[in-house]
Amino acid sequence: MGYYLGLDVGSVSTNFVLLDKEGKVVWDLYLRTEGRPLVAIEKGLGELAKENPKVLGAGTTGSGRKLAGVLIGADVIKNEITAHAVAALALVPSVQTVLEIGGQDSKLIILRDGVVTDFAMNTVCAAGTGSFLDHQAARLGVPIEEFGKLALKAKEEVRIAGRCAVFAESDMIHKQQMGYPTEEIVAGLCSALVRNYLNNVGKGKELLPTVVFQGGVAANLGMRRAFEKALGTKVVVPEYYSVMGAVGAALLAKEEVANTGRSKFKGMNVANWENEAGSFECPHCPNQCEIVEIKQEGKVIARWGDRCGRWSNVEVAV
Amino acid sequence: MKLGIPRALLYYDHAPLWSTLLEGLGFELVISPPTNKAILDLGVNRAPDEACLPVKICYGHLAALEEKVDALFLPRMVSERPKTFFCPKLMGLPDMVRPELAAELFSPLVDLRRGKRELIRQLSDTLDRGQRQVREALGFAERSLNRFLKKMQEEKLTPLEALAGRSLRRKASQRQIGLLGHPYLLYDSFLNMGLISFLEERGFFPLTAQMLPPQQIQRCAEKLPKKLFWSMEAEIMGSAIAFLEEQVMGIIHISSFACGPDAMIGELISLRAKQSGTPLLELNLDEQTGQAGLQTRLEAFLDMLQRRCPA
Repeated sequence: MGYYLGLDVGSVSTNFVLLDKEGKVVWDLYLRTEGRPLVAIEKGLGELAKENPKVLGAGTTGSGRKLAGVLIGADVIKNEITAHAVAALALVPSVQTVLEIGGQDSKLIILRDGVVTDFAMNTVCAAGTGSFLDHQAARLGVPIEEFGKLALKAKEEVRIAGRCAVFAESDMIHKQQMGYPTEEIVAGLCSALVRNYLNNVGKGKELLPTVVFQGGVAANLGMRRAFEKALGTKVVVPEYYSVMGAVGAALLAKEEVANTGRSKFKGMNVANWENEAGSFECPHCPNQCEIVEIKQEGKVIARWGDRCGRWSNVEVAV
Repeated sequence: MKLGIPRALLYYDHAPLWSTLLEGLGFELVISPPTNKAILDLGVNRAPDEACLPVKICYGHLAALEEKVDALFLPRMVSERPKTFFCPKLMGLPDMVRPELAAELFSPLVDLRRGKRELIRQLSDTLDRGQRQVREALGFAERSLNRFLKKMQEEKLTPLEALAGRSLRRKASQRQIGLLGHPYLLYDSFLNMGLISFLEERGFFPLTAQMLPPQQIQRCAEKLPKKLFWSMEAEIMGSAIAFLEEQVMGIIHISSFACGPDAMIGELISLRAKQSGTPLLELNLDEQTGQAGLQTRLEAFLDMLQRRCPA
């Protein structure tokens, strides 16, 4: 029995999944990236090696997709939007709207008849994403796993300004000092973030059911309820909501391998190899590009970061 | 006398006009190199914080030239057509940059609402050349500008290709993507992180306003219920509607952070694109040099186009 491997290396989490030939998730792993994607990837590969699967194809996505891709020899290296859309479509075929909130960014994908017709991503600001919720949970002394449940206990909601994370925080502190109960503040925060998401990312878009909510933040019951209230429709959270990017990457890998006939995956021994990432500033022109160099088992396997191609085009040992 | 021209802002619109004119009047020209990180850093350090990125970059280009020339040439662009204006930042630019510069600044007023005679007088005064000599050189310069514009339209070239004398007539393939935005954003590959080659490498043909007949753009711009008085925005808006006429696969609108006029037409463009069912990607550029955010959005957009209509 062979499997397809999907890897989603995001800012907050690094996720692995294995799909069987029917596209069913047979194994998944959610790890915190903690700012060190290389370490997280190695750790995940170590866990994967214990399962010792026969990998027929591999795909990567997320902001660390390129790094993960060269390390394992991925068949596809895809952007998160395509990966999330493919996964949502596979698990919820009737989907027309995907709400995805991750660690650093939030996305909205509009599908019609099984094809992406529009999408939007938050701009440079990460307000209202997972890392902000994480931060607020820590500040209120509520474990992030309990955060959403707490919101459900609230009878009333406190109005929190959601436009900007910095303002939201000072608003929350103010409301705390006034004596509002924590659960009402938490519920208010969830509504504020949903309002902000719909105004900012969703502006002018038609959000039709079936609505699928995925990404790490979908675990938050308060956020789910706030979305349902704002949209006036049921929101579906798929079973593997937190690893949907990885599921999409694996599905895309399956598609790619079906086309090419063979996989570029380096095999399970990658789990034992030494990897190293370094960087240097190129001295050749005023652009001073920062070049990243990835070594595996002491050999340079990839370089990037240059604008002119001087470094990335260099023939490297694979 | 050595005169420096910054490769910034309206350079991509008017380059042959000014270079032919100034050379015809006996100046030796130095044009700043393509934008690079050092120029960006110089500009960001010198420009006021609230200026938009293209203005900051212009500061950088002027700074890169000031030691190498006797004077810098930066006309005060007010209006090129009746009842239209350039952006206020361009009108005020010479005054903004002058105190920061080590070299003298030549900034003739370009306000064609006042007629060409006034322009000739302005050029003659600031450049210290006789009016007759200016008139003659300007005639040559205008013809050279027209040849440049025509070459871009007929052979579907970018300004840089036309300036470099390239004459490869590109095939306008089926997979055309309309590229909207100010020329100083579209053609500065440092600023937009190689957008045009990114599209070309993936088999898309980027169509820009410069490649369309100006009559078509104007006719399209007149479809708006009210005439836009920002001339650059009127061109962008007109080409957006023209792209929809040309049935491009999708439209990418590039704007820079803090651009006032663009913010307004951005909405108009998205309404029109939505009505016609044409996918639109809006990209906002600022000082970031990390390419990840831009690339993710572009890749996803191209994936979407490809999955909508497989080749």
